[in-house]
Amino acid sequence: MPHDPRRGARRRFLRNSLAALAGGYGFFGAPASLALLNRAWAAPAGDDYKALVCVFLLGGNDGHNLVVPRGSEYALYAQRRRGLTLPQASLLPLSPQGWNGYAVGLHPAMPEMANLFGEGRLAILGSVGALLQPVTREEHQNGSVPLPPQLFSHNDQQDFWQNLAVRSSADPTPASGWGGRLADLVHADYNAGATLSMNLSLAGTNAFQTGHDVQSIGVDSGEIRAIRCRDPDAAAAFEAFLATPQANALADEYRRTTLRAIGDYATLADALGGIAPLATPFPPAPVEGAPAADRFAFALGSQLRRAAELIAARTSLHHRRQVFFCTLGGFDTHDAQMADQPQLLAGLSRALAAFDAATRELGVDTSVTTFVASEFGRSLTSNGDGSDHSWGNHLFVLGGGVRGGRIFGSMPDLAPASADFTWDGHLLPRIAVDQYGATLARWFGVSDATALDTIFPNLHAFAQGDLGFMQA
Amino acid sequence: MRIARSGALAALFAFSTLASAGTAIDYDLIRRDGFDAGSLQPASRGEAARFLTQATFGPTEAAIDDLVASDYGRWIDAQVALPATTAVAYMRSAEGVTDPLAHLPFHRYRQAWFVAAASAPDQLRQRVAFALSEILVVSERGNALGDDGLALGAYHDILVRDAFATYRQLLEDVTLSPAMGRYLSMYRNRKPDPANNIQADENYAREVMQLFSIGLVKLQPDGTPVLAGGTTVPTYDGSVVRALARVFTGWACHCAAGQDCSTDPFVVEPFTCSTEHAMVPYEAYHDRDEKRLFDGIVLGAGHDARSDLAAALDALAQHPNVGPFLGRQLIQRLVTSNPSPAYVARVAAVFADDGHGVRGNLGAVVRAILLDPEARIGHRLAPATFGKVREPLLRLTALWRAFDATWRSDVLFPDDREIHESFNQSPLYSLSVFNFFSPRHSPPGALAGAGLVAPELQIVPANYAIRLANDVDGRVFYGYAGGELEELDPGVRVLHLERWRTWLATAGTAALVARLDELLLGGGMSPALRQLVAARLAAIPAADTLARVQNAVYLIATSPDYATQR
Repeated sequence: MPHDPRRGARRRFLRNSLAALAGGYGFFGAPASLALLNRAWAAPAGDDYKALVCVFLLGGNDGHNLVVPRGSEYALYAQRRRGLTLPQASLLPLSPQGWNGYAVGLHPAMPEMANLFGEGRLAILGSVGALLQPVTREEHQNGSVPLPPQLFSHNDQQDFWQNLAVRSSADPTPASGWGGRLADLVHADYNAGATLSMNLSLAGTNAFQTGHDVQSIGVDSGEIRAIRCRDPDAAAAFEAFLATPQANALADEYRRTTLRAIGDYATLADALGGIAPLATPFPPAPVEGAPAADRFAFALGSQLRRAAELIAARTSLHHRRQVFFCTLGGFDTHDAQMADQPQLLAGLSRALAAFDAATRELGVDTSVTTFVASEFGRSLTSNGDGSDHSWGNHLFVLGGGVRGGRIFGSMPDLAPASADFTWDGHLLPRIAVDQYGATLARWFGVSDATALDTIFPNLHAFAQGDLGFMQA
Repeated sequence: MRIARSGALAALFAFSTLASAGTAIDYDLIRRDGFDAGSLQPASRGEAARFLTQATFGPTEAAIDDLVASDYGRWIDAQVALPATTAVAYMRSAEGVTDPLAHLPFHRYRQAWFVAAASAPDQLRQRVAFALSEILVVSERGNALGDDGLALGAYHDILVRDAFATYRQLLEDVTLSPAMGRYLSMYRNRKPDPANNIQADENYAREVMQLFSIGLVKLQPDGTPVLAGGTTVPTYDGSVVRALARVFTGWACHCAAGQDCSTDPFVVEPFTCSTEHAMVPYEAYHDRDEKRLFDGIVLGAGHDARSDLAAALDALAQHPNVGPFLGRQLIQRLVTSNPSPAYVARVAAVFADDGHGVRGNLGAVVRAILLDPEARIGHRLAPATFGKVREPLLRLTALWRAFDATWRSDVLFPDDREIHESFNQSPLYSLSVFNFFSPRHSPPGALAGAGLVAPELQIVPANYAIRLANDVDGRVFYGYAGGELEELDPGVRVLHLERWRTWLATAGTAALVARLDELLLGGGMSPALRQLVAARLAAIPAADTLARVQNAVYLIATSPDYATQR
């Protein structure tokens, strides 16, 4: 009978959580208990600060042209990717430490990221993707291993990346994201006295930061507004009315949203009003007719600038742990990829470089880790002038706490019928999102194995719970 | 509708039994609202306003008068019979161009949309077209559609023209539109070239199934998923996507008179793909091999682009999922976020057969959605859960229409031209093909815990909740006839508060509030809000009728009551 590692993990979890709660609620009866678990096991020490910054590339970035072979494998790459091939000489050479794979280069639009790799502040993760358990080409072909649902659908894979749960559409229980579960675990203890959520979204509502207890707050990257009204008495009446519960559930949700927004924005305005302006320049607003890269750099840079400001304001916010969520859209390059992707990556590279510089300016660069995510990789083969939805992908992680200048995971063998691709041409992930996230969560301060298994429900299926890309 | 309604009535009893403890009370409600007698006349001006909130961009007092004198069925008939108000002709006139290929900036489209939403007579058609634009999504923020008002305006006109056509017609017109062709890259999609490792582009094939027609999993006629061994059943797999991708090969833009048509558009693109003309086939690039679709449907080898396309669209339109999949979303856009499965099933049945043997008659589907007992009295049967959060754009249009907005120039003033900055929403301006919000978005907390969705709340994170309230301040305290904004810019849509002031002076505050309740809330104002407004108005000198009317409108239009349509 095949061993189901999940069963063991669940038993272990139940046993521990019931013991920890000493007759309180069982975990499955009261999801809020994650915070209680943490009190039992993960008591914080010292006054350290840490932040995780998720930069989600919406649409599915083409990782095959992010990190590209530049040695003898290049010929194979050029043959398989006809029409989507970057010139060999244009690749920005990387010299990864301790790397036994083939020679690689970075996309030519990302000189800033190539420099950070050279400085040991950026690490590449090769062949990452959504997995429930390890899968080989043969297992995939004969369907013997369960896979995440709807692998090639944008919204389903954005959801899976962010919540890591296999959910039936008939499942009535509320979903949560792994950033949200992480916050459920640490917020109360690390951020005692905070009135603002530690899950700060610069890109609106998202699944990643949704916890059972802790919800995200959408922070504007521009002006932090308050309720304004020509007639202050009218505004006061409006605000006072938000204390009155509504009988209709949707109206009441709207009421709570607005009420919370007003309070949170007052807190934000105070906190941000008390920081010194950042000296680090961020990409400016694009001028009329500027290349698209300027627009992308500004779109992401504005979010990251606000994130840096919120980091600067951490003391007055009573935040020793923060999780940020930023997005950049436009990566669904079915069309005109060779024109569009360089603009996107150039914008990404400039915005991230500015943010990295800002963390150094603030003296927190070893405490802030930025990780790049995207719902899926893209097909190795061309569709004429673009690429289609696929699976495994190459991504990267950035910050002073990263063991940079290295490649973790693997770069695929690009030969036809290679064991690194499915029979129908999709790159097989060798690193699961759960492993990627758990490595970050350990660095963030979660050490308890049971807690990690709860935040990352598929982690137990993988031998390596820590990929080693973060410094101890 | 008579036949359908007797079945609907039985179903309504089942719904009301689920929704509330007291069946006897519900039966009284149904009798009182006349559904047993077959009358579709609004019982009050508030009921008429409520219907118009679902079916238009917002009730006006004149529209309420008309509806009260008629009935819902006749009102729909009259609306369907009205000629369609289209965008492109208007945009050309506004831009001062006559050349059918001339560039039209996108802001002209936004202008056309706002003018039509505020004032077009064919409100039902416009409202349904807007709903369709949030299901069959194209966006200016995609694939080389930047500032292409012509392509996007022409797309809008397809939705307007086909709002009451058959679904099959709509699907074909959308598929072949240059805007969609470019947005989801079916335009210049070519047959596979194995020698060069080139596959057909899967983009349109995937999204047309996932989002525009059948969805990811097999559905029951009531919209709930088919379960096999406790798990959902996929409607298609990767091989179907690849096969359908090959169906959608060989299409490029029509070369119009006056354009250089000498070169093959698949090699070099010599002319604009931004016309009103549907895409046309270029057979050399169409894949003529066999294609195996879902449910054992096989398109044989040797067919040209048009026959393959027709067969594939037939297969999609005939799929049993379309009725519940599309019907549920249209209900969500027009009436309520959490329709009962029985409501979805009744609408899906009309999709399957409009009573005259026609499948996919969208006019009949819209009628069934609006006349369904759940639409008409769901707010009484299930007051705690019925309704939907108003989309930001619809909050605004309802305010304009309620207060007879006028403007000196159609050209939008800067705040409205950049409306997405304050609303997180603007017509044909979604961030992706997944629309501004997902039909399954469930805000964490109480709603998620109760298994309820509130799609529109996905675009109201904290910062936008504040901006939406502040927008009302701008409109009511500055953007009224006689206010500062009117002088500042001729494009400001000015609210008319004058007759409300007159009316207040003669009828008093209670009557004023009652009438605003009727117009803005369909008569559903909560006692707490009524008390709030009354208390606030009592604190303002009676002589200051402007401040009193402004305060009343502001407090209602910023309230959670107004934020949700019920």
